[in-house]
Formats: sequence, structure tokens, C-alpha cells
Amino acid sequence: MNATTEAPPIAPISGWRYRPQLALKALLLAEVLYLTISFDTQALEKAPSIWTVLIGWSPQYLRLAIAIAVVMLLPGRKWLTKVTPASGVGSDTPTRLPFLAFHAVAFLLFAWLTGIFFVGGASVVLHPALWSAAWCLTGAATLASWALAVYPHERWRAALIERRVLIAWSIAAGTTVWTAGLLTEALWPPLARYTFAIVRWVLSGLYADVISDPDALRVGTPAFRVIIAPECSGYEGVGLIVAFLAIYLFLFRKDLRFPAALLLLPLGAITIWILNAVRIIALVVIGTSGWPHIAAGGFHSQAGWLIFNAVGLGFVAIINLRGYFMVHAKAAREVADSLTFESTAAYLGPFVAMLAAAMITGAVSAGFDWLYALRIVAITAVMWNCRKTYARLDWTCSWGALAIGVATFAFWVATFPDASASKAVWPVALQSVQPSSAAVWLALRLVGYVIAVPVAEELAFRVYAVRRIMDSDIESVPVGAFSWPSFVISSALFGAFHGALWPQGVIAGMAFASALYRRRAVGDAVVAHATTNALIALYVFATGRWSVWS
Amino acid sequence: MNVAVYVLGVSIVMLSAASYAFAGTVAPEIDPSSIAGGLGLLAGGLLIARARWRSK
Repeated sequence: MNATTEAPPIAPISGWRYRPQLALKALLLAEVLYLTISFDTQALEKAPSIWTVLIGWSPQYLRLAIAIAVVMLLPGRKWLTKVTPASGVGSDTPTRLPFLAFHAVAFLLFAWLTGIFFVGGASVVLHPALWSAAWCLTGAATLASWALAVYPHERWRAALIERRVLIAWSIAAGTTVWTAGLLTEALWPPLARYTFAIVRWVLSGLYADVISDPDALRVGTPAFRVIIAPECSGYEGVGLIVAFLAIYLFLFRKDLRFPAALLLLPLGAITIWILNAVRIIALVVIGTSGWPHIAAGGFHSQAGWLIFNAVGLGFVAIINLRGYFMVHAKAAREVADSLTFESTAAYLGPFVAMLAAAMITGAVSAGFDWLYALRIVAITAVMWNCRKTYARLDWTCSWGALAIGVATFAFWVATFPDASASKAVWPVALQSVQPSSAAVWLALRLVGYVIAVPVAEELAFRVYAVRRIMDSDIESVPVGAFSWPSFVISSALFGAFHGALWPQGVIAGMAFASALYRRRAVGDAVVAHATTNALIALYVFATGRWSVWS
Repeated sequence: MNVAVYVLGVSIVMLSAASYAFAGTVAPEIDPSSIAGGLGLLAGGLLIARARWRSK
């Protein structure tokens, strides 16, 4: 590509020329992630100096910036595609390389200063203003050099002038959102008191010997008591459900009748707040009934998510089934495209059923999922119901897929952190029961891990998600079609379901997707995934490293 | 005018999400370690529901 001295023409993003900008944006994201993960600001917030306290608030500044950026980018994304230079300017022009080099130096300096500053050495305590100024300057230099490495300053200036109204609106709205998030924490304590009152009232009707301490917000029975902390008041569920419903209203605003549909927000909030009180009552009942480990373990962990999903999907079902709040009530009950629905249910259904089964069995467990087999039952039931749809897929497999599976296994084991012992509870739990029961559980776990889960996940991520990202009508995209966004996003989503091992999950997702792309046969992706899982299981049996089997 | 309306719409969505996303404390009511499963179930259920009931 050639550099040009003329003002570059404004044109949509296309092809490979956009990759340098993407790489630079990914670089900034990685730098921010590195800093936020590596350094903790809590120590600074307690420091005596106003300067260190101000710097200690940096996570809040990041949140403010994210709020403004989200508000700005959602309406302005089409504009952003237009300001990207169509010519070589903004990609690999030699004149911008110095900015990139300067950015690298500035970031290293900034990271070094952050390390010193956030640990809080003696020099920082003696000269907090000096260190704060240095930290701010290097941070500003890091950002400015990055911005100039992405686009020339003329383009930034033109963009700022052209979209000053949008920018002003976004700053105002983002600041309001950020401030609201801070202020609403003040609502937690009073909400906790109301939750406490409801729980105590219901428990008084169930048990004669209810113990309650209004000052400590402690309530329960002599056998099992809970403290309703302000964070446990139902506030988080309210925030989640209102956010979900607001996003739903916004995305499907053309189908919904306003202002009536806005009623869904308070209705959702009240419903989930009441159900949170029910959750706490159930917690006490389960604990009092002789299962305190289940109450404090799986139920406490999963019930909130189950309630949130039940309320969210329940509201969507009511809206669509009954036509309430919809512009055209009749249209709501019609099936738009049976083929799209069949495909969505067939490819996504097994994975969704697996998640639901895992959540439900997790809620009735005390740390070890004895009912794992229900996941296999759930996946099998959905797949049997949708079996005709799978006939359209190519289930053949090749030796290449097998090789990809072996390579992914080697990568997984090689990069698995030794410190992780999340599944070390397995041997202890299995030794606590009869050998025959342990053998049956292990056999079913193996079937699920090597057969059911790979099939469900490959259908969801490689057959559905990859195509859904490329087009809302998935049937218009052939299985195995490639695009960079769908490849990266679907693999990232796959990685997100692997918890702390998400980096390995992303790479594994890319490997399984590559298996699919080779011949466009879903059988290859499934075989690659199943091979990896089978080898991991064998490795665990051979070495006793149970933590690897996740 | 369109920009203003759009920004306001996005802001309302963000405002409702702010309570959760910007809260300084992780509440045990919603277990953060199950976030992928919880949100995955919701998103998957919603996609299937929308495919079933999408209006013409």
C-alpha cells in the first residue's frame, strides 16, 4: 500500500487493509486487560494522600470511559466505519511507525510506574504529587501515541468536529449512567431490610421457633440461619432483570407497543425481588430440613441464576405467546419461518438443555454433581426430538480431524496450570461411595465428556454460532463457511464457557473450527473435540491429575 | 434528532444495566463463577424463543 499526502477519501472498511487498525485496537485492549488484572488499587484508596486516593479511583475512570464509549459506539458505529481511511494512510504508513514505537515505550514506562505506585513504596508516600503527575503524564502519553498510531491527527480532528454533537451527548449520557451506578449502591441497605421482613414473616408461618435479629439482619431456625447482607437483598437480580428487559425492549422496539411496554421494567423488578425472598426462604427450609451443605453450596450458588433465567425467559414467553405489549398481537403467535426455528432449536437446543440441566443439578448438589447423567439425558432428548434436522449435516470424519484433536489435547495439557485443583474433589467424593456406584458415575461422566458434550458444543458453536454471526438467517449460510469475525467471536464465546481456562478454550475453539473448515463436515469438528476430551480423560486416569478434567 | 433519540435509548439501557455492571461489590445472590452458564442459558433460550415467535 502506498502512503499519500492528500486527505484520504472516506470509504467503508473493506478487506485486509483494516487489519492494522484491528491489531492496534486489540493491542490497547490487551494492555488495559493486563493492567487491570495485574494491579489492585484497593491499597491506594486507603492511603492518606488525596493524590493516591484519586489514582486509586482509576477503575472508576475506566468504567466511566467504557460507559461513554458504549453509548457513543452503538449509534456511531456506522460513522466509525466511514472514518476509516480507504487508502494506505492509517495502516502501514512509515510516518506512523514512530508513534507506535513511542507508544510501546510510553506503555512500558506507564506499567512500570503503575507497579511502583500501586504497591506504594516509601518514595511514593514521601512525594505523592510528583508520582501522581508522572503516572498521569505517562498514561496520557500512552493513550495519545496509540491514537496517533491508529489514525493521523487530521482525521481525529475532523472526526471530533464532525461528530461533536454525538460526542457531547455520549459524554453526558455516559457520565449519568456511571453516576447512577455509584449512587444506587445506597439503596442496598433499605432493600435488605424489606427482604428481611418478608423472609421473617413467611418463616414465622412455617416454623414455630424462628430466630431473627433485625440489627444483624439474621434470620432462620435453630438448625439453619442466614444473614441477609445488603448485597444479598435482591438488588443484583433487580439490576440484571431490568437490564435484560431494557435491552429486549430496545432491540425489539418495532414489535412492541409503547409506552405500555415500559411497564415490563417495574413488573420484572418486583417479580425477581419477591422471588429472591423466596430463594432465601427456600435456603432456610432446605438447610433446616437436613441438607445444610446443599443449601449453602449448590442451591445458594445456582438458585439466583435459575430465578433470573426463569423470570427473563418467562417474560419473553408471555409477551410473545399472549401478544401483550405487542403492536400486532396476531403476528406474535405466528411462526415466521419454521426452517429457521427448526435449525435454531436443533443446533442450539442440545447446548441450552445441557446448561439448564447443569444448573438444576448443580442447585441440588453440595459441591459434587452426582446427577451429572441428567445432562446426557437432556442432550439426548433434544437431539432425538430434532433428529431429522441433523440429516442435513455431513457427519463424515477424517484423519486430519483426529490429528487436530490430538494436537489440541497436547496444547491443553501443556498449558494447564499446575496450581488448579478445582476438580480434585472428585477422588474424595467417589471414594465415599460404593465402588460400583463410583464406576457407574465415572462411566456416565466419560460418555458425557467424550460424546454428548462435544456433539452439543460443536452444534452450538461451529454449526449455529459461526453462521448466526455471519447472518441472522442461518440457513442462508452454508455449514463451514468462513469469515474472520465469526471465527474469532465464536471461538471467544467457546472460551468464555471454560472459566479460568478461557485462553485455552479460545485456542481449542479455533482448532475445532479449523477442523470444520477443512471439509465443511461437522463430523470433523465433533471428532476433533471428542478426541481431545477422550485423551484428556485417559491422561487423567493414567496420571491421577484430576484437575485437568474440566 | 435521530442521534439524540438513539443516544437516549442506549442510555436508558445502560442506565438499567449500570446497577449491575458498575456496582463495586459482587453480590452472592448471583454467583459470578456461573456467569457464563447463566447468561448462556438466557441467550440460548432467547434465540430459540425469537426464532419460534418472530413476527412476520
